[in-house]
Amino acid sequence: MEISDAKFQALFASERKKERRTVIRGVDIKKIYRTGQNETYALRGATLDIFQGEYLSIMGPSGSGKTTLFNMIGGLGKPSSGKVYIDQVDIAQLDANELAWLRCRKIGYIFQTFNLIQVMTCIENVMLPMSFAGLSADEARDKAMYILKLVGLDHRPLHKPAELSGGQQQRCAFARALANSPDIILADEPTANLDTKTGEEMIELLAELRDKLGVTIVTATHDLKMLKRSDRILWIEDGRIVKITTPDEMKIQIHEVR
Amino acid sequence: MVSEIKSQVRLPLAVAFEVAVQGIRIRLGRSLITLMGIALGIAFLMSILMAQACRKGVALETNMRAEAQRMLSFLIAETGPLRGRKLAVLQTGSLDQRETRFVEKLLRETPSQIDWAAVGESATLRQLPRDASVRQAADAASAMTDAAGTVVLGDGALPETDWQSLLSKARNPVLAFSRASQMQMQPEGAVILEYKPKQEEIEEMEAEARRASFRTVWIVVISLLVTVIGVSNAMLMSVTERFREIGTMKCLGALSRFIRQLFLMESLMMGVVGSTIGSIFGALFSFIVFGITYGFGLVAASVSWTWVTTAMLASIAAGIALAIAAAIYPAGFAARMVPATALRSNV
Repeated sequence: MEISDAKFQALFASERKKERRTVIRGVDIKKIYRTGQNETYALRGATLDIFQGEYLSIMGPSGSGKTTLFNMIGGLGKPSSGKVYIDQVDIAQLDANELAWLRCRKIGYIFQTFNLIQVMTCIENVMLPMSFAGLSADEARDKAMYILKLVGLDHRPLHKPAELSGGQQQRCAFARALANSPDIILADEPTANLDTKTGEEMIELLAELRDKLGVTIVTATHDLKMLKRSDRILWIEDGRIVKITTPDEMKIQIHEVR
Repeated sequence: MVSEIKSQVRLPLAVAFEVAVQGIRIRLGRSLITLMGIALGIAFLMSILMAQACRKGVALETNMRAEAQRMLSFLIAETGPLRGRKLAVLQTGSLDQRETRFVEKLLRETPSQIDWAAVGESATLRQLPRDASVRQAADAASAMTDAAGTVVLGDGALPETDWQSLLSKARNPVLAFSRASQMQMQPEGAVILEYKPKQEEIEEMEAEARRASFRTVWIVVISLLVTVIGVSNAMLMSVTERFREIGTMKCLGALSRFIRQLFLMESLMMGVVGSTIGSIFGALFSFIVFGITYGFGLVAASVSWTWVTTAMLASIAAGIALAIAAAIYPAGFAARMVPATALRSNV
């Protein structure tokens, strides 16, 4: 899984400069879910900056609002209040078409539960965002095959997700996230359902994408190996961001706890 | 280096079509049930339309046969049995169906000879009935000589003739007009074979027809409503089943338009196939039922096939329209879904 070759560079056409520029900015994001009379606060005002080309991990117990934060900064849902800027554009101002463009080209999503489309084959899943981006079927097939090779799944392109192992499904989901060469990859616990080997390979690939191409990576994770590779760790508890640390600081804290 | 955000490209319909076809293929079982729903509804509609056509055709046909029989009986009452006797036919213009049937029945009485003459403005015969006993006569006078009776058929105007002197040449001075309107001059011994129903009878028949058509419309409307609701329900099921899939597609950059197209397309395809199957089976069903009751020959001969074809096309069109109408709400529902909501549902 070496991504130094020219073809891959060409895939991510514009090489991103490694500058400390804010890619995603969240300002006081709140999200309230209403079910009848009950109001559930999923986020109680999260403010954060995510920089170009960084590897940010989000840590927090389950139910702390990780996934909600994910959906908000990824443009998958509207916050109840607060603003989300992607590339300095307030996404609340975007119309449906622009939002779709953003989800298609700018951001690659990897979901905790893979969310592969069960009725499509592995390669069709990877080709789907490409066809949404307007690529012809032939171009898309070539590119999808290349990306599948990159994630080590080029030997089973015509299998349905149900016929693949968990690790293979995650590789497929990974390939799909890379389909349109996104600037940002959002991964919700990408290694949670994986065997160690696949998990390590995925982490390695994410890190390489960051190092070589300046792709911004945001993950929610409990995986120590993943935390170690990240640049910053954001701790979220009960819908609030409690602190932002580096992996080194985290080590100290873990020792303290134990 | 702020990259601007562009608008997502609109995909051609072909892509939605492909995905929809794939969706139907994968969930063939469920799609088939939805398809059956449409097919049943349209089959019901078509069977009613076909039954109407058959009933109308059969009624017309039996009515016609009875009418021809009655005309023959009238004639025979005047002339006596026709077997082995000579008969004259004066044709003005062209014959209608009733008269054609009457001629057929006339021939079955086996008269020894029928002299057939054309009279009136354009006195030419288009075609003679094919029978050994029928001969073309030069004019009315030669036809009527020695005839046991003379029948005037056709829709043309009669020439001014001295019927009385013509009749005197006949063996039996019977002059029968198939149409009451032709008998302008009332010669002696003339009979009218046409039966004019009384005004009240006509009114009663029309009222009955109106009641029947109201009943039919009512039943058809109800059955189509049931179909729409059934298909709508099936499509809603299909949407709920695919919440996650729709959400995922939206996350990957699908436009709401695309999702809407996807479901409408799926419904459209099922509508086309379902209503085609339905209309064929519906028509066949009614045809067989009427065929068994009245005889297939009679039904096949009496049904207006152009009308049946039109009804079939109309019911297919109705089926497609219904399928699309049924999908509008579910498709809109799917298209409006926020991706995050769609992903959260654990269906």
